[in-house]
Amino acid sequence: MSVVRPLAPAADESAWPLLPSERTWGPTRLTLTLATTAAATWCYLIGESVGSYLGFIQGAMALTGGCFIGMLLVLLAAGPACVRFGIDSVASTKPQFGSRGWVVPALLQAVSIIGWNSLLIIFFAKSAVQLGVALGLVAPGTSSAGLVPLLTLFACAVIFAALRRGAKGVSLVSNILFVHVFVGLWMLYLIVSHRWPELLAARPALAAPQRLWNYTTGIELGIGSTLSWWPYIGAMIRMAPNGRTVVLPVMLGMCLPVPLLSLIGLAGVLVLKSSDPAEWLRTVGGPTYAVVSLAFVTAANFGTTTAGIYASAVGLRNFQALQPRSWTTLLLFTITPVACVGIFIPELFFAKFGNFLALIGVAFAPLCGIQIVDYFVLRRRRLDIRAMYAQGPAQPYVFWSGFNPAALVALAVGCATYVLLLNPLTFRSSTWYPHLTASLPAAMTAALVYFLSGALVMRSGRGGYRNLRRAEHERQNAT
Amino acid sequence: MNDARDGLPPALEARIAALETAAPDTDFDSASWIWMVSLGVVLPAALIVLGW
Repeated sequence: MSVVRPLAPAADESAWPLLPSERTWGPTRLTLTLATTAAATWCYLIGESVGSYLGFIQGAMALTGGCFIGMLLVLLAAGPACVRFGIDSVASTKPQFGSRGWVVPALLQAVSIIGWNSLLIIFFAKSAVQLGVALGLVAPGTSSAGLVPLLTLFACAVIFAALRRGAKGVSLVSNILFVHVFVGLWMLYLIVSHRWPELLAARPALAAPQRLWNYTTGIELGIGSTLSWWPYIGAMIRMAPNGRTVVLPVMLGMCLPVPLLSLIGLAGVLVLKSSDPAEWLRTVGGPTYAVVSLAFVTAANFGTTTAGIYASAVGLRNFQALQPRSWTTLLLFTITPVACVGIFIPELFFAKFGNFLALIGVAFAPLCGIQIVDYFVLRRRRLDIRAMYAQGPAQPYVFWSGFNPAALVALAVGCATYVLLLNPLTFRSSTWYPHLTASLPAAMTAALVYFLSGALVMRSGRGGYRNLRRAEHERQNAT
Repeated sequence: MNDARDGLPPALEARIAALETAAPDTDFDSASWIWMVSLGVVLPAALIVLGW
């Protein structure tokens, strides 16, 4: 039996698998961290989108239902490998995409997280400027053009300082900022209790003539919102010791705050024609409420960005060239693009990059479908942890020159399916979309293509499928 | 021996060797599956039907 060295102090700063003794986060700590990660300005944007098509009750039901469906897909896709071996989301794709092909999901993760973090840090800086005005620290009418870069730099410096402690830094920030989730729920209570009759009577501004289309879009927005947690989830749940510890924190701590806080934006856009609570809380409760709201938005975006930078840094650690680099260097690699965007091109990025992020988000549904069918159907829940990290042409996850064409083709077909059903930029849709959604068929098509082409890969003897079956056969004989 | 075969740094090799013997064979236990099916399938189905 191998002798295990004493625990490396920075195991959570690497992309290597964590040992069971290093995975010490219990359900409470994980829930706090995941909830703080989930609650951010994007919740208002999601609520605003849903409120464009659906009324309050229908929107709440469709969005919440969709969020839980998307969260389950993410948990079933990345969860098994992450909870068994203490690895992150990117490393969990190596059995499907290959010993080099995992760079595709890694790039998706990096672009998605860095892009979203840049947007959130700009939101943070803008909210902080508004907060300064509300508190009398900044003169009214002061242009945010000069302050946003400074506040971005300040936020990046604080996040950098917190994350030098690795996962502990994420947990620390979450423990401090978790209260903002309750502030968000209080804001929801305020608008619902003050405007309930109007909420029930409010009509969505952009509702399509077809009632089913509107309802399906509410569900789709929910599914898409929680599917975008795929890049984040692995780096967090790998800190927990087993699947049982992870399920409720993910399904309730990470998923539930999204629809709940989105209801703030949904209610705001329906009744007050603004999803930004800082605007309508001033109307409802005066300047004090506006200050509370701005503090909430500022804290929320800060917490999410901290977790995102951490997840992104761990994901980048999978690149061999970055493995020997210090954690500080890796953090700089991750945080510098975010800082540069916030300092040099905040307005341009704010105006243009949202569309690109919408396109990137299309890939997560097929990615989940591929991972689920590979793990539960083709590999029958057996993974080779050594093959995920070992180098050499004889390793099972090398496939062809490190790439598994089955996964790449399935991903492309899944993305194409999504775009054919629903254009994420224009929301133009096919006739099938109202009956199917776009994310679920994209995941299922990718899973089907992967399953069929995976059968060919299995026949070729690549991918390590035969080794697993042989091992299973030997074990059955032994018993 | 493994280092030469797999090209792994010694610290990673030690981790993987430990996990090959100590990592759990299962991902989610039956209670976890019940929660996942309840919250990821039954609850959303009920919400979607009720909302419609």
